[in-house]
Amino acid sequence: MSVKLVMIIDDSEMDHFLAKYMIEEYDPSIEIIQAYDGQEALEILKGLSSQPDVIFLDINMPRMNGHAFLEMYSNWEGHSESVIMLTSSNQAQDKEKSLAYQCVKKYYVKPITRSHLESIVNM
Amino acid sequence: MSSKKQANKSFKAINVDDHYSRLEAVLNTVIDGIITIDHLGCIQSFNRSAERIFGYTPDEVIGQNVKMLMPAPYHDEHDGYLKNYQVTGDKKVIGNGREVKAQRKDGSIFAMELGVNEMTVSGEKMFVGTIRDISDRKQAEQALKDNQAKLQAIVDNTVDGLITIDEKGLIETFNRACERIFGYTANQVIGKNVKVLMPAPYHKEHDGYLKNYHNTGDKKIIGTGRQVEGKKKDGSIFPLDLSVSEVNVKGRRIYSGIVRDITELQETQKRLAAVLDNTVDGLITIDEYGNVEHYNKACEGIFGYKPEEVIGQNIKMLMPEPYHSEHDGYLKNYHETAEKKIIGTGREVAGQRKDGSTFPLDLSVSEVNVQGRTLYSGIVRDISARKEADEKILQANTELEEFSYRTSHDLRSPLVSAIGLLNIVTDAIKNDKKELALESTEFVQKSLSQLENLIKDILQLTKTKNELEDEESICFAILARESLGKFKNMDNFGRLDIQQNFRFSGNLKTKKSRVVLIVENLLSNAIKYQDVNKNNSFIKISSYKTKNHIVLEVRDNGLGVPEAQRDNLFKMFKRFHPRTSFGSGLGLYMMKKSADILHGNISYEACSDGSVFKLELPLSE
Repeated sequence: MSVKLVMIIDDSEMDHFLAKYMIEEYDPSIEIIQAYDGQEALEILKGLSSQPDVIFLDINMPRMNGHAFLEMYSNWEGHSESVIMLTSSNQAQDKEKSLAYQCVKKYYVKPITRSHLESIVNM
Repeated sequence: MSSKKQANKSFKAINVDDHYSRLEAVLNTVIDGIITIDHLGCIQSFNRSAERIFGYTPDEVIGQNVKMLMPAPYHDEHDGYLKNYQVTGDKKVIGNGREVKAQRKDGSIFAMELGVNEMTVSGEKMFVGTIRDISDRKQAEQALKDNQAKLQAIVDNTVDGLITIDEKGLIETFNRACERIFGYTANQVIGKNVKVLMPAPYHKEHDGYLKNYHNTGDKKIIGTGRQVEGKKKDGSIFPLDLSVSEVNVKGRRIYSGIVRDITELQETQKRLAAVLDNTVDGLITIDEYGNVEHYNKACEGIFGYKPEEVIGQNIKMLMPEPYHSEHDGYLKNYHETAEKKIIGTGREVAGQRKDGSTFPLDLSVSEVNVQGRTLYSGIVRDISARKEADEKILQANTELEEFSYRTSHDLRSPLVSAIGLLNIVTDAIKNDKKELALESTEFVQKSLSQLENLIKDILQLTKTKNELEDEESICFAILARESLGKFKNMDNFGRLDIQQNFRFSGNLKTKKSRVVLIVENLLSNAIKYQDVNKNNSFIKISSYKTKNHIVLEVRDNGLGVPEAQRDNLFKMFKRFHPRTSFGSGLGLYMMKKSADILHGNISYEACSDGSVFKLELPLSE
């Protein structure tokens, strides 16, 4: 798939830095939007004319966590079909709960790697 | 008959014959047997009753020795009796009635009353015996005797004491049970006034009771039973159950009393009542209409009502709505359908105390039939404490699960970030990108210090839960000053207007480290979550006294807490401000736990422009 617009939803500044660096390293032409919790992400997504090709989503975040975000976002018409979980939680319950959404394509445990990005692009 | 024949031969006259016939008829209709014998003992006549009594016909006996009608030893001795009489003239049986044994034709022996008279007919000495079979009477007499013995045995062997007295109160009967109960022998009391068995005041009053009854006919105790006191021979007084009845015997009035020593019964009852009163569980008995009949001591503790406030009232007074209104219906329904809902099983229900408060209780109900009456007994146990403990355990369990989940996540997260960031640092150094290397290193530092903070908080939390600490004097003003000194290097500290107003400035004795934890967290939160977009950011710290508490209040005009998150405010691992917060999410949770340990409370109040946190600590006595 062609990836032009990516959103990173994570409350950690370090992880934003890390993910942004990895994506830019992989393909500097990719545009990156950043949100620090689910609620902020929904507000930004609402204002977009077209939804991101890929959304990287963390789970444990203040205000609105990843699960709550999916509950809301998956009901949107024309939502992005490629949500990639990127979290430090390796708990089965988190994995099962997220992968239950059709739009969630992968569940990766941090940190993000080059091979993660390759497999996403090759989806 | 043969005497008649002889007579016929002797007199040959029709009128004489007629006279004998009449005599014979008379003899034959007499109920008693009549036998005549000659001086040798030979039977001369034998009337019809004798036939009936002995079972012989006259033909079989006339001319035979009368001893054939006698059993041994009379059988052999009778000839001797006759001879002896003729020689000595010494009358033994003659002229007297006596009871002797006789023998029937069938060999059976029976008792008879025998009267013998002597007469002389035509110069010849004859004896007339009149015989009455008294075996029936003897049997009746024996039966009567047996009966009396039996009655006496019954009277003597009844467990209950039986006393009869005459109209004057003098004892006539005093059975063995009485001897045992009172310690007197029958001989010692028979003929004495029954009042010897009574302690004061009955002792003095009993004669009066009897007199009163004779005069007025007004029955007090007669015909009923009652509990009275008795006095034993040794002077000791004991409780007894007495029932008195009046009997008329041949026009004489006697009173019979049945007494039962109930010392043991009363002891048992007392013990039972003590057991019931002292059970931890409440015990309530109601009648079929729901009226309370018994309400033990434990119930007082549970419901707050005294027995006199409840007994006789409807049980529904101990129930909150809707049970209060529905209980009569439950009872009625059970009476009509016999369909058991709660009876025979236990269940958790709600109770209502005197003060109106409701509480959970475990209730088990059983149905009891007492003397034809249906009673329901309920055992109640206040389970508020248990429920509370259950909830605490559940909460602790949930917290523990949350804790393990979040620690596994939150401990891992900064480490994982650091590893990723260090990869960038390596790449950057290789590619000679100094700025990127520095930037990444800074993030590594941030990540690791976040990890350090989390570990510090987790350790603090474990300490909060487990540490024992002596109480010491603290002063809010000093604690606040010390905390603020620690935080003066935090971002944007300098732009805050910090106001302090300690109206309560006295010393408070409590566990210092807990209070320090709370004060430091409250102040650092207020600093961290200030609203940098306002130019009059402030923190107001004050202390004051209420009726039972000392309150520390920290008020700010910072970011506040989003309304949706307020319920979760004091739960673990909650962070509420994206980007601003890099705390562990344990701060408020630790404050809450510390306040609990201090028997105090920490609360949050939303205000239009920021937050108010209040720490309430109980005033020491």
